Amino acid sequence: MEPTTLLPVISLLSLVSVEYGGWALLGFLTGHGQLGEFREQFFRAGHAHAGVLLVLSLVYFLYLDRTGYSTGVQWLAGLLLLVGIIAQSGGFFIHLARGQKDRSSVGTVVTRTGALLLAAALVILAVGLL
Amino acid sequence: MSPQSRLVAGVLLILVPTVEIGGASILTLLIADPSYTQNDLRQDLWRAGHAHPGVWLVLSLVALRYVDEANLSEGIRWVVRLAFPAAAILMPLAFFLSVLAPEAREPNALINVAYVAGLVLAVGLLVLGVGLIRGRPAGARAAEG
Repeated sequence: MEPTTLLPVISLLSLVSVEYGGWALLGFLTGHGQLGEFREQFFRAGHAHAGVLLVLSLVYFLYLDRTGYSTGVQWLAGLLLLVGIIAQSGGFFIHLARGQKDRSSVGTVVTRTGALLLAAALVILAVGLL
Repeated sequence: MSPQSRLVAGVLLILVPTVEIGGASILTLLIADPSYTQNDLRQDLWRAGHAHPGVWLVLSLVALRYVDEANLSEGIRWVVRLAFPAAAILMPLAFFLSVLAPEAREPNALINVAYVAGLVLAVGLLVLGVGLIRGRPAGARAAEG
């Protein structure tokens, strides 16, 4: 299967899991159990980044299809983007579970690493479109 | 892009400024209305009521680029074309109208519309995903050129 056929399906299904997170967050905000301000902030950041970045990934795959890259490079770029998105947004959830207010943690390191990975994927796409 | 998808895309683009108006309203409240910033719940839900349609309308526009190459019948394609925008419209209705009163401490029953909107979006996502897994319809590639 082509990367630009399979990877969008993974993004669509992942968006359903983002919805599940949003459902839980709405429960916390409307009083079924409290997260506290610190955890709430990072839950919101994780939910929002995952949602927006997955929409970005769907746009990304449309453009990836237009590059002259071989299937191998397309797999590399697309998976780099998806791994970057999972790490960038997942790091916020690790931070709210393991981290402390005003301190960096393994979660924030994962978030920063994920951001670098998805930046690399975006540069690869840009070069391929030139 | 099929004429059907182009039509929906046009309507969606016209809807985007309503999200901008909502954003401008919230900005005014944040700057000029102390009672708004004192009500955390209302701030949380109205922020969500602005963010979700903004992101979901963009998602709807992207979904339209995919639905024409999904292996689905025309009727099911319309389900996808309409599910995404319907969710994007229902979600802010729930978030804004459930805490309309400035002193609201908990959302009224309209918050349940948010769960319906989430369900509608999930249906759109899953149906489109299944359509893409099933592969491109015969002749779609040729028609694209």
